[in-house]
Amino acid sequence: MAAISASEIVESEASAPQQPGFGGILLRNRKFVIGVAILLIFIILGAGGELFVGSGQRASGSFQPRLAPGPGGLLGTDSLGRSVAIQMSEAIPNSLQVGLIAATLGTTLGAIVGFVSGYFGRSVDSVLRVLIDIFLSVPSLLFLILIASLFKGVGVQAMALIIGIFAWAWPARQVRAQVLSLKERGFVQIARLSGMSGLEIIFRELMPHMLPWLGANFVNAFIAAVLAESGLSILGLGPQREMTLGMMIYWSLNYSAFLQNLWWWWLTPVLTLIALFLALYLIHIGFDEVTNPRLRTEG
Amino acid sequence: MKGKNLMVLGMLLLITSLIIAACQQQPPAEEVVVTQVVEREVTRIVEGETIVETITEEIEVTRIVESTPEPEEEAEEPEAVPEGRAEQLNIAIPGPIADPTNLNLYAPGVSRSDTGLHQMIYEYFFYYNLQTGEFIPWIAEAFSYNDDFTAITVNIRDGVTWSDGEPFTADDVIFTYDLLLNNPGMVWAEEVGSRVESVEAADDLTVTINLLAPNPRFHLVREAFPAVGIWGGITILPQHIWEGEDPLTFTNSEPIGTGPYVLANASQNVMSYERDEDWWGIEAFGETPGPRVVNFQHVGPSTSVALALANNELDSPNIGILTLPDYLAVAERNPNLIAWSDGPPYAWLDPCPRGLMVQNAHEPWGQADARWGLSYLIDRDQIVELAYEGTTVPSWGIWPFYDGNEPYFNAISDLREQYPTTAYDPAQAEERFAAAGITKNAEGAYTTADGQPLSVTYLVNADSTEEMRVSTVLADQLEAEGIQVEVQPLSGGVLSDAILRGEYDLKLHSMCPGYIVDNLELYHSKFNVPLGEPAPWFERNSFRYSNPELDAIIDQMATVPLENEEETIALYEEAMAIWFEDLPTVNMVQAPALVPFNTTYWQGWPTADNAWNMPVSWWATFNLVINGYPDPESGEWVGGIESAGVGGGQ
Repeated sequence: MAAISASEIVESEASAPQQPGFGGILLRNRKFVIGVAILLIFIILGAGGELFVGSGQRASGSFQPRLAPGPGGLLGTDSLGRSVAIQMSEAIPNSLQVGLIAATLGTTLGAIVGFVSGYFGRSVDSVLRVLIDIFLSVPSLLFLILIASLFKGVGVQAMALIIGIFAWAWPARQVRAQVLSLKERGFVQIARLSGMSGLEIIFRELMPHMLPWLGANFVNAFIAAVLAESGLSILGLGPQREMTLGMMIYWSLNYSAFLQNLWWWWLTPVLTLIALFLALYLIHIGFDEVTNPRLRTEG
Repeated sequence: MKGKNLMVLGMLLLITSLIIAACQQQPPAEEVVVTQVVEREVTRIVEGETIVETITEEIEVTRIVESTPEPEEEAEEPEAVPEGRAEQLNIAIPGPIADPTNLNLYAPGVSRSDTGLHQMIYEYFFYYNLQTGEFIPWIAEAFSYNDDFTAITVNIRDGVTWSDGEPFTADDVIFTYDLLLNNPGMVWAEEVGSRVESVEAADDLTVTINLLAPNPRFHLVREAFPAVGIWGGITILPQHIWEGEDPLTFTNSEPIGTGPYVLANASQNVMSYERDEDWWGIEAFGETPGPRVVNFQHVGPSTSVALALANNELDSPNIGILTLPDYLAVAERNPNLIAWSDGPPYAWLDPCPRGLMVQNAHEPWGQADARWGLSYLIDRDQIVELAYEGTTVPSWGIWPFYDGNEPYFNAISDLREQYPTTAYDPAQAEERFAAAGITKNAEGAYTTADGQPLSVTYLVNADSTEEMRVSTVLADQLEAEGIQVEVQPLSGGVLSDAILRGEYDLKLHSMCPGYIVDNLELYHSKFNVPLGEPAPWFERNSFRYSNPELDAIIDQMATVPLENEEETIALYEEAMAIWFEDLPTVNMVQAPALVPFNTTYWQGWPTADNAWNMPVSWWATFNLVINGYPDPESGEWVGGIESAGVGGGQ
């Protein structure tokens, strides 16, 4: 994916001022808009639930156990006498929170390491490259399971941090590769000749080229983090006293919901996860199309 | 344009895969269409108002059970038996083996039951069949006490050999006791050290254990005498293997025992044993154990265990993996499954009721008022309904509701009325907590005398389905009443270490062995070691309770000969007055063991109708379930599972 050079942007903006900016192109991208819309629905549902549900209704035994979905029970209840709908209102924001924290941490760390490694090169690069390669080659799930089992009883935020710490290597390598290519371009050479410092060049010249790409990576990392949380939780390593989509699946497994045909219990979080992945994937494609004009279908 | 096409193709692929994924999840939903409503009666034992006797009350519970016609169709076709399956006995264990290379059952934290070690590899002098009351000689033939009960002499059976061919002799017994007396870090070493003075042999087959104090019940003390009733006991080791090894660090990865099986393969998920064709018992008893291979395997969560049972991949799961609704759902799919009884309550009563160990060495839990306050905050009926799915009943104490215990329970009926240990009563709780200096603030949160919120660390075995469930309901209950609960799930050696060192405020635990006197002895202060040092055993006072008055009564009980039950009952009454007043641990529920057996490949399992043994695969006595045993009176062979003759089994 070739990045657009600064000169190209300047040119196009000068010759066609009526063309929309980056945000405009994004909003015209149907996939992106649909993805964002689905995500917004989840956020609104989650936030709404947070506002309207009293803490007393979250505890086990608040409802009659094993109620099928219906007008009275809405999404049904689980074997512990908890409403599936109320659990979702807690699980969706928590799972999104895991994704947000882990993706922010991973992308930021990755960008910093990538820029530093790519721009400064030499020994810094050698050290960081080895570090990146190590983190890339060791399966992170292995580490996640190890760490999560060491710190059993972690909360949602701690879980997100653990996942985020392992989410930086891939963006770091990608950013590094881009920077290696970009820093040889004319405008960077000129900036360097005009006396800009390394940090200045990174932030003022290189960063703008990488932002859309980082955005796409952020969404990708978001998906991966939500998936990692679910995986760990299903293995029983999740936040025991809080609800996430993964923990919902864990409890439904613990209570053999599948065997006892309490389908609403396990199907709800599974379908939600699928919808969530779909939404984030659409956003990711949207980003990709905007940053890579050759993929654009509209706008 | 190429890129665009690729994207469209990618989208199509994604959507198709999502649809396929969604479709695959459809069948269970379709099953709803063929739903049958099945009414079943579940019998539960409910504490009556007249505390004198336990009343059995029948409660009709209507549940909706969905069944699928699929298994019936499959049943039409003759089922292909997988290679070797008919010769295998497959037992499901609750979690993976933490370290399958360490099979030293005297090292703290090493499992002896999940690994199958004490069922398959090692054998014991005697096996105590609680079901029939028989004390069955196995690698010993007889025992006798001296006149003042200060020494017990055991006659070892002639012809018993270790699996490597070496003879089993009195020297092995002396070696093992010496090891335990000299290495206090070994599991149960302190129990031996506090009772045994020395061990000597008159000849190869006669060994005498000299006791520190008179004890007519010594042959029942599993922690100091290698006879097993409930679960397990101290294990005699082969001197020629263990000599010169450090008993705490030796990994014993190729265990040598006298048992009918030898270890074939050890991994985290499967411990596989093969029949020892040179086992001494084949000649001595003239009986060969049926299964050629026995696997103790971790299959996964309860759903996986249930499906494996339905598909005949398993013969029996351990306790606590399947609940009653699980079992009924599986039994509907696989008609070859049986439980202890054909109808309710299906479960066999495990002798170890569940108690909530409260760390007496952590303030405020050293105060009886605080422990009583906690007890009043627990809604045990809700825990039974939600965590146990109706499989058990609340328990007023930590003794199993066995008929044989009734005389004891009747003797304390007044006390049981006076101290409502199963009552859920937040108002009473507030009163008792106030007496311990714990008050409720304006927000409804309990705060200690120094103004800190009352917070508890609740240790949970992460591998135990039962404990994970109870922890959720109990933590919800306590938090709703204003106590902060930090649930800490741990597993393996880290967990056992934390329990033994007392690093918890709350821990749900099996209160074993369940005998009247022995379960009282759990509260003896001789097992109370300082915080941070390992207690002799989990429920053996890792909760660090001390009461000299209770100690005195327990010491006195230990000297009463077994036949003198009246005196024991009188002392039990005296002790229980203290136990109820202090409530050193908080009683929770009885422990029914719902243990399904699969009769597809193996038959002759013990059931309520044919109660020749305990239906438990995690106890050392499982050796006798597989083999059967000679009746101690008549010598006639009793029980033993046999091949159902499917698929060319023997």
